[in-house]
Amino acid sequence: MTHDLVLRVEDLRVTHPGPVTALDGLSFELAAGQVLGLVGESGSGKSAAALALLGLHRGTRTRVEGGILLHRADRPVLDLNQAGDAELRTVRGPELAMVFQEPLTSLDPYRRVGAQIAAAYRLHTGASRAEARQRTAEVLDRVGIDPKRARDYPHQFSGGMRQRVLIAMALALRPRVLVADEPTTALDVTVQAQILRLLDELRQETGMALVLVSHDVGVVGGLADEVVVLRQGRAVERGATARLLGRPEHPYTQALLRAVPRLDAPLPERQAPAADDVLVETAGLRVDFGSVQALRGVDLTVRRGETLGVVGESGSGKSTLGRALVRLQDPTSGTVRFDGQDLASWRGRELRRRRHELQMVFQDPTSSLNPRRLIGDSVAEPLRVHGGRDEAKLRAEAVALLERVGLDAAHADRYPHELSGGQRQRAAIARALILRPKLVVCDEPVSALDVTTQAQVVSLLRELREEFELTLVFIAHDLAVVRSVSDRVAVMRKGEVVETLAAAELTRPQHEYTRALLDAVPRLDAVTAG
Amino acid sequence: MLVLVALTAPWLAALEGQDPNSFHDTLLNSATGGSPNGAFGGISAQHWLGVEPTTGRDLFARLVYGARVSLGVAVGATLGQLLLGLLVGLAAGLGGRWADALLSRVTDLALALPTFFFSIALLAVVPQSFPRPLLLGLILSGLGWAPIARIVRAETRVLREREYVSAAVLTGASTWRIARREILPGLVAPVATYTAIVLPQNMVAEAGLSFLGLGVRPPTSSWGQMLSTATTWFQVDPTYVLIPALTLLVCVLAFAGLGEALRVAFDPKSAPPAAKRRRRKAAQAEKAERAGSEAKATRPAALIPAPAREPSARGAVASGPGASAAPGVDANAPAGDSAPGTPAARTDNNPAHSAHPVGTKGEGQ
Amino acid sequence: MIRFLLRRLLGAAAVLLALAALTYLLFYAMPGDPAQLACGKGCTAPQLAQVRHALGTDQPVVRQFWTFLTTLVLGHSFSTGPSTVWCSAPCLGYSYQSNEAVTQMLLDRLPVDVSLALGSAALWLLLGIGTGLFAALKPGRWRDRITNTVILTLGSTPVFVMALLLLMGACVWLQVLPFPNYVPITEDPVQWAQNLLLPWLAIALVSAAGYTRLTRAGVLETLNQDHIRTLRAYGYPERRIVLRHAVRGALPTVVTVAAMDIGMVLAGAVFTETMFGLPGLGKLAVESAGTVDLPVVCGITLLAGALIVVANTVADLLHAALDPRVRI
Repeated sequence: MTHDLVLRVEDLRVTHPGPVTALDGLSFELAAGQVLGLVGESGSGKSAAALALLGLHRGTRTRVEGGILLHRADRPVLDLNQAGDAELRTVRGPELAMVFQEPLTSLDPYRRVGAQIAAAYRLHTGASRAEARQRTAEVLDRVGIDPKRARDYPHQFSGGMRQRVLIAMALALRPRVLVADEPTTALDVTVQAQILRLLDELRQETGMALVLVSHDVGVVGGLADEVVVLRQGRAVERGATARLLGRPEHPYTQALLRAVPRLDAPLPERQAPAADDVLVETAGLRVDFGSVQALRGVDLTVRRGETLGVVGESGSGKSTLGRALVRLQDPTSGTVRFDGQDLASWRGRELRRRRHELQMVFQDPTSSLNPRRLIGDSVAEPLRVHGGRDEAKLRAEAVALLERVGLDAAHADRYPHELSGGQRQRAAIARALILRPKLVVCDEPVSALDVTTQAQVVSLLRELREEFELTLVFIAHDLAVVRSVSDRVAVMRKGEVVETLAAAELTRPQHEYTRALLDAVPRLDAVTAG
Repeated sequence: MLVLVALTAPWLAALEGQDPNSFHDTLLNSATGGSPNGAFGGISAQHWLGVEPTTGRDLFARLVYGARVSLGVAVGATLGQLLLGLLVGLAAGLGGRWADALLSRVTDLALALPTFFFSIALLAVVPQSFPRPLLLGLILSGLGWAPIARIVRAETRVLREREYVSAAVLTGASTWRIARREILPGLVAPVATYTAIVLPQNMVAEAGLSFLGLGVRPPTSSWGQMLSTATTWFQVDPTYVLIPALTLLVCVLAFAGLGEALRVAFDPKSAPPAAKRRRRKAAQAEKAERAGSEAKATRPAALIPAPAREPSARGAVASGPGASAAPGVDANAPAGDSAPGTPAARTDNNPAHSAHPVGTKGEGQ
Repeated sequence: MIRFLLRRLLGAAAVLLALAALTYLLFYAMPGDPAQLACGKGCTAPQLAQVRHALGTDQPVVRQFWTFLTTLVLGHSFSTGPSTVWCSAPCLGYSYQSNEAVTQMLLDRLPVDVSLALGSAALWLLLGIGTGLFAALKPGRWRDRITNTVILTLGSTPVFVMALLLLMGACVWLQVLPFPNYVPITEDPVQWAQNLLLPWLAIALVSAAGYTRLTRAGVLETLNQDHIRTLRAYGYPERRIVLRHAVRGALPTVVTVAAMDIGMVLAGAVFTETMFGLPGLGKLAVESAGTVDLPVVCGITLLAGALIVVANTVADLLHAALDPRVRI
């Protein structure tokens, strides 16, 4: 590996109006061909840092201090933070390029993708139209997109393909540094693996340096030479990737790594529920939305007292399955039997009376609680629906449950937006439990949360299921998380269950799709071993 | 302020010492065909704003009495539109597929009506014996509910997909309870904003119809009716024209300003102080949580949540008449490689339809 | 694309039919005898019966509506006492008051509205988009705020007040323009434009406000989107970003709304025409309403409805053409 210095960042500080310090003194050096990983949870300042590198805070009220020194051959060192707007613009693209988190919205919806790549290329090279078209075809081909699709609009591409287009746009100008801000967060795990592989190949071919920003230690670990761990704007630890992940020194890094769910972690001992005591059973469950078949005949059993994990990528129908299990979604055909009864046979008053036996915890804690009602009010509401009139008693019951899930009485008098994501999810769990349900379906309950919060909520669910004698259906895209809570795991793809295995067997699957999913998961153990 | 004027009209007129309908021939100059004597349309200590040409009726008294009719019709019509719009919109938004399809088509039809011509025609057809202000209110509400219904329906649909509404369904709450407790509070902001836009429009509509001689007729006064009689005099007695015109203008502007203020207050993008305070509280919650974890360094904490997002379908109202939220055109098609980006826009959600209130914006409809 | 077009057109046709039914019911099935109204005052009993027969009001309502529809499509003959007049399709009925076929009356008036609509639309688009961009370039600054205030004021002025003020200002006090008097463009284009200037201004000043807001909001909203950040990250100059890319984002909405507004003005600018004495559809509607000439009022309402439906359909199609995501 060559060691030509391309970028030196000195004591970078980013302050949002308020003033709120987003980034408090970040320094690093980056050589050609090197990959630097910036890891942190939300609020760590990692994205603010990424934007600051390209001067994208300019024109806003956010202040950037410190030095961003770009080293170029035969030219004086340029401090991007001091450079004039015009000079900065000449650097954006040919020297530093950026790939963003939201591939779905980062392309102009009104222009063909080829035209967008060509325009960026021509802007900096002054090439002719024909030359630009030529180069566009080259780079599209390189990132694995048929050059003929240059005439398509962004909405005609999937998320992963749009991210490839954005990488192609960067590639066209042969930048020396590519800043990738959460480039795979919005993507499925198999697509994520492809994009990461592509970035690595391009780095090797062109010798560009890469700044990889992510919340996912696994993603960064697989690619970076050096990692900086950020927390609340401060770099708490830095070091070569293998050392940092293998022998973390700072307590925060240690906690962060401990919270990351791993596929090789030991599973807690647990009494397997009796196989013949079935609480929920679906038979030939189909759900169509117009011409889209969300579920294509699902046969599944959930035993009383067990936790059934459901994994799948986006579009696999796992959420639809969850909604059908609690009768938020009526099946197009097929049945869901609950406690021996066909759910569809519940009607009118009976349905309303018995609904509470089936509850759900939703993914997005920002929208699962009514923003205009106090937390305590939301949690007590189910009791009111079922005839509770004594407000003092209702409140006492709500507060008791809130305390059980790790909140306190003061939280009952707050609005949802005054709580953190983890706190909101705890409140939503309390609301689901207040009517003592038999079955709780958790639809991606932790995927919107930071990894350390995620670990806490998962362990809370583990405790509660014993205490409340719950049967859980735990839906998630993250195999490691699902494995850590489930007794059995059902793997879904395109509206079908491809296989159901015991959690302990998940790493030794029968089906090739499950194996592909497993292979795509970024591994920490591989890095630390090497 | 205006409402106050309208309510206290008799006393105000009494204060001035004039009656809206008594004639004062003595103040008129018969040589010029009955224009008032004196400067600025005969303004004097007795007649604060002068008198009406030909008849010599007191303008100030007519103006304050006119305020009652103008405001009464506008407020009444607005309430009527709100009621109808809320009913139809909620029914369509919460009802089944058929109810929604039917009510939405009816709303579409109502939106395509040339409202203004219909009112003109209806006013012409209904016998004179029917009290005009009441008729005006009925016609305006009967023809103007559709935009509100559309907004309410769209917003209800959005709210209905919220997970907290699903959670309420799971508790076994009835549809009516869900509408009342979960949906309606969410409708307050968009409906209030839209009401503030519609109220001045109704005022203008009333004034317009009366101006054309089809609405309120003499001797009852309303600002539009005053303006209507005044136009024939604008060469001779400009004050007579300017008084009702400016009053109307100021009044409409006041309401429009109020609407604008409401819009800004409810717009999640321009965070009002209250929301900022709340957000700060949330930030404090984060900090407290972190501080707690700091103590037990091994158990670090939840970090900043995405700022609470307010419903965004409000765009339809947010930018006033004609603005668009383009609810169908959403680039956030599904992520992941399994599905190609869906061409998301359903054409019947076209902003063109959803957002253009068929009020009396600008020209007659 | 063709299916999309067909569906839109079918939908438009359905709305039109419903509109016709509604209009018809409102006017002909209302309490009060249209025959009496059509016949005028001092109408004798036999005359009344004759008119009633001619109008067909002695037949059941559904039958009447069918006749009304066939008349519209196929034409119909009307007896006007001594002679019989053939009213060819599309026949909207016959006005016994002015002894003319309604369709012909409407066609005579339409050029005025076309002149009004096109001229004012050009003006308001120019004004609206211009001020919108002006405000959007430096949001939050004083010029944005001033533009906002002026626009809010102009935009909430009732059009008849605007017309009145313009008339008083230009014709009475300053005397820079003659009192408008419609001259067809075919006779004298200069006179045509000069006489229509004030009406155009009246409509444009009031309507431009909406476009200022739309443009400003559209541009600012687009500037906040992720794809604009991509452009910035590739070193596009800010001016080019605003003028080329942000405007492109605001365009579909502006064009869509413009199409509908033009439809509205085409359907009759009631106040402007009344104020400036322009012989257009709006003025005709008011006059006919005053004399209770039902066939004319009914015809105008129907035509206006049709124009609005057509404008909405055009707006939809334009929107689909301008936004690549809206393709069916």
